[in-house]
Amino acid sequence: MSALAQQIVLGILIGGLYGLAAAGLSLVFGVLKVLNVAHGELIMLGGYAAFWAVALLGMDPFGSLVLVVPLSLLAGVVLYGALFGFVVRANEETREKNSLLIGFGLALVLHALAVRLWTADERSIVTPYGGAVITVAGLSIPVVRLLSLVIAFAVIGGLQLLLTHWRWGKAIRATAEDWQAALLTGIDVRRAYLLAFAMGTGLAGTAGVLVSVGYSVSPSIGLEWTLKALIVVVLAGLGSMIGTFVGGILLGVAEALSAAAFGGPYREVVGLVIFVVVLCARPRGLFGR
Amino acid sequence: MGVHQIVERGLAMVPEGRRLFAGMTVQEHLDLGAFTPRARAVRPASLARVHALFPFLHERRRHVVRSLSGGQQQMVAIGRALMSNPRLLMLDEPSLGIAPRLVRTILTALAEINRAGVAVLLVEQNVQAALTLAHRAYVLESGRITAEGPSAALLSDAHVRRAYLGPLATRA
Repeated sequence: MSALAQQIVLGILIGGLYGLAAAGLSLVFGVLKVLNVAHGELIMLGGYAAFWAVALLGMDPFGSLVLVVPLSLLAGVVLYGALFGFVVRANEETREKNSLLIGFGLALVLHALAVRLWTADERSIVTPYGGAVITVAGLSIPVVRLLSLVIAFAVIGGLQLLLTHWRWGKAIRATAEDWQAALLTGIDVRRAYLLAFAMGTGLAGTAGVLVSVGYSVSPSIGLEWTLKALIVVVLAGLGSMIGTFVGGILLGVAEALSAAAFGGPYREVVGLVIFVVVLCARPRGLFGR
Repeated sequence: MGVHQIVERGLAMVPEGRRLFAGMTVQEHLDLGAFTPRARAVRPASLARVHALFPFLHERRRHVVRSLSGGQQQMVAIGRALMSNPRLLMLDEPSLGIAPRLVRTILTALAEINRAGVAVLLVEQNVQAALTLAHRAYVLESGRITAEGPSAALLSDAHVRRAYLGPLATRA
């Protein structure tokens, strides 16, 4: 019983990262109608950025966010300008198809580049407090992962506030609902696209830092994280960042439960089953409109 | 020139079917309406004007527009357009699918907006109402202008009466 409870706790901890990974994908898809399948590779790059910031600059792993988040926002601006800015000029159906091609291409390039630059080895950040564990009611909670969950929640909450209170946040939501009406309202929709894409990349970078701190990073983690994010987006639906975060935690718990019930190798299967079931039963997702 | 720059220069449009942002509140629509720099500078004054015109938008400012009726949504759409502080307001079929009582409210509001110095270009199938409201009117048939002139003249024009205002209007 306590072994199961322990698995659930670990599931919640990683679920927060699923939620954070999904938030960026959801924002970009909801606003630009572009599915960025290279989202996981952006998470991977964020992870490496944190790894090198710690290894070369001697930064604190969580402190590296101060460096990695601005860098990933910048990377978002560059990627939008170089690749995705062209796609959004097409109609929505063409957008989705072309964005898939561009995303896959980008994912392959980034993956190959990471192998070339940093080898295919798995790396994780070693910190003095990395092994610290809090014990609550017989359950051990790794401090680093708990901190990651708290940061993920804070970032999602901050994002939600931005989207509801900031002038451009409202503009981004309006663009997601009806871009033509947003244009008529006087919103520079291209700029809203750019901002949403950069924010999506920033979220991926943040997730990457937390992944490499609490878990590990290698060039091949991209696809895995894109898949997790996609499952959470389908599960939670578009339109609510908090909903996405909750969806991530649900996936983390579901994985933990299935690993406990059917054994470790089946951990991944449950996510895909959820994916199919939600698409059949409630295509808008649990919290979607 | 981008559409947002056209809005900035003083042209606002209320599209057919209203095209509101379904998940957002009445107040958020009005906030977004004043998005361009020129509109933002006079936002409080515009808001006061819109609220005076449609007090309903003040009462329901926290309501999500999805929960409003068609006519109420039309007020939000017009309010949103007015918040951009336009010099010319264009409306595409504002009476479409709206309860008759609210149609009158909306048309009265348009007259008031016009009196306040905003040019109004109205595309409307409700010919009687449009001709009563407008100073000048154009009748379009299959994309061609078949009659034009001061509204009062068109109202008494035999062809217009027969084609658009029905037999009762012709006899009256």
